[in-house]
Amino acid sequence: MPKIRIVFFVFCILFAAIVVKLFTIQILRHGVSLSNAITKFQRIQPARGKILDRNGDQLVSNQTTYLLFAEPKKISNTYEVVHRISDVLQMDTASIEARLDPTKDWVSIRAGITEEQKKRLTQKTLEGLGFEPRPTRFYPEGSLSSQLVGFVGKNDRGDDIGYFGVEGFYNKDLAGLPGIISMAKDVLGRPALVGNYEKIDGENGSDLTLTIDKSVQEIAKRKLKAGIETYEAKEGCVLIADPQTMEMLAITCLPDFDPEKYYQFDEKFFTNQAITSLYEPGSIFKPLIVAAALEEKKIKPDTEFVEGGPIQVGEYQIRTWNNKYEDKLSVTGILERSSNVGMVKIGEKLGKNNIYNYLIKYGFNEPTNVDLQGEAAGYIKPKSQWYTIDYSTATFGQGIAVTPIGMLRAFASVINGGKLLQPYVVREIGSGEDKRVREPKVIRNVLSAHTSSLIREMLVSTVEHGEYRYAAPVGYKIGGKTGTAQIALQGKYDASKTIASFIGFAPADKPRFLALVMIKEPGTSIYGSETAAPLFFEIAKELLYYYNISPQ
Amino acid sequence: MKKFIFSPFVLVIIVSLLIGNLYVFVSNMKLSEEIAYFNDQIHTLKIENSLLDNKLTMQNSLSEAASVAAQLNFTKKATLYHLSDLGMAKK
Repeated sequence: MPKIRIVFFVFCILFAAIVVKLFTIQILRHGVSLSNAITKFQRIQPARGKILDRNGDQLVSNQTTYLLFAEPKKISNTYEVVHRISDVLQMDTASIEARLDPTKDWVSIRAGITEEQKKRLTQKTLEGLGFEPRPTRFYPEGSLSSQLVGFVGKNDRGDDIGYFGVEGFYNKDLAGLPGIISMAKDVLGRPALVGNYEKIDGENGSDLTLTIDKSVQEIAKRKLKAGIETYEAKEGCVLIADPQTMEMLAITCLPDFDPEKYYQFDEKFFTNQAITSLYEPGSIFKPLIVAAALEEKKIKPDTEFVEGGPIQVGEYQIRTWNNKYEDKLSVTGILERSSNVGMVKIGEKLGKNNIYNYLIKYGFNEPTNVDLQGEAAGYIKPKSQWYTIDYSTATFGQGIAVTPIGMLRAFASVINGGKLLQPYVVREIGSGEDKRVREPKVIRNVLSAHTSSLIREMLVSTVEHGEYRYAAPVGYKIGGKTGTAQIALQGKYDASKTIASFIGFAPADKPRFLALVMIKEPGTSIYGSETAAPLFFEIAKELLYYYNISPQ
Repeated sequence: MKKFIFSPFVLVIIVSLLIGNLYVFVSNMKLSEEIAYFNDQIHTLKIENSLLDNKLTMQNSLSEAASVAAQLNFTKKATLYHLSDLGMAKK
């Protein structure tokens, strides 16, 4: 009997102990992390979306790199560890030793360790070293489109976030949504198959297919780099688009940066000058005013103007670029000779109201809303602040500030039948059934198809009779206009500092591409006809070959 | 009561339950280890997959093509040649 009672009392005590423990956990300490020690929440990191060019080739994808860390208290042979790391990672032994503070439990040594480096480090087992996998971006084409694409950095919470370009603009689509797994784990961290198991699936980021053609981008960048060296320029940009849809085929500006090592570059290299810089366009603006005057029927292509000499506007005297003057010039002749005096006279016929209204119609007072982070809006000062001289200088592209992409968009409307289109860089978001495809968007009609056709012919004549015609590929009808815009510094123009540009399209009858070439402060010559124009034709030759366009 | 607690039938049930519980517990542990192992394997395979995908992408990249072309001295021999002047052909 007593034995039974002893057993009974033992069971009662054990049972009471369990009840007390449960009461402690569930009632007295229910808010404490004790439950977290049992139930683990694990974040499922989504894969960031890839960025592909229009042909499906990867411009940006993902890779896993590692953070090499050390647990100094577990390292028995510091000398071996230090020299092994130094050999593989080419790091200074002193800096490695400084990090291995024996009083610390965990220290990071270096991030961005590749798989190959990890294999070499782990060839021989070294106690106290570990690797933490980290997803990073991979750029198979290097810095081919660094400013266009942007890069992925961290926000203040340590989460990945895209900065600049496509990565910045489409960060939410690319990032996806993380998932969560909540399950019980044992003391060794292994899943315990008891208790609650909950999983919320994450969503990987959407892949983006760009309108950019990586071959066209490569041609543009290679030629621009060579051009900047040849003409001893400070900077340059090339923008290429399909004028019928305003799909951007290439956007490149130099100098740029290496997106894999963006942290080694100054912030000024991250901004894409093609969309952020405001500049006075100069003579490449003239066709827009001529088109407006044709549209308003103030002039005809064969309307003649007397040039004679410099023209006086208030206290200012406006001259031609070479101070040479013709007795009579047709409208086409004014474009061919890039006559500022002729343009002022066309502007007078067009009228101040029309000049201002067409600047607004061409969209120069607003951003283009291209899908890249960081775009600046052009600037047109309020009409009440315009003086007579402003209307005159605007006719030849000085005294107004535009962005290169704004200029490209407006010029496209002049040659594509009069449609002002929204430029865009991303054509498709996602894949499969969830794919969203972007279509060209017409903002408004600026000109008639007839006016557009007239201007195209004039611009072909401008190329055929221009000084730079020898650089143009023979057998093709190419239209375009040079520009040499003086740079304003502290309220005055510096004649020695210019932005040399050329904007052109081919084939002229139904343009397949429109390209704007800009070179800032060329050293060999200040003129667009001697720098930007030859560079444009170098690019055009390769594009005509690439697109298999036969001579006409 | 005494007879009931110590009846062979009840003892057999208790022992069976104990053995069953032990078996389930050990199976759980083994299964947990397998899950952890396969999780690691999946993670490793994903990384390998990503590496191979990137290697394939590099093979198709322009930078790789330029590198191979430079090695073969191809760039100098294959520049574009424009037939600008067909004077001889016209004759």
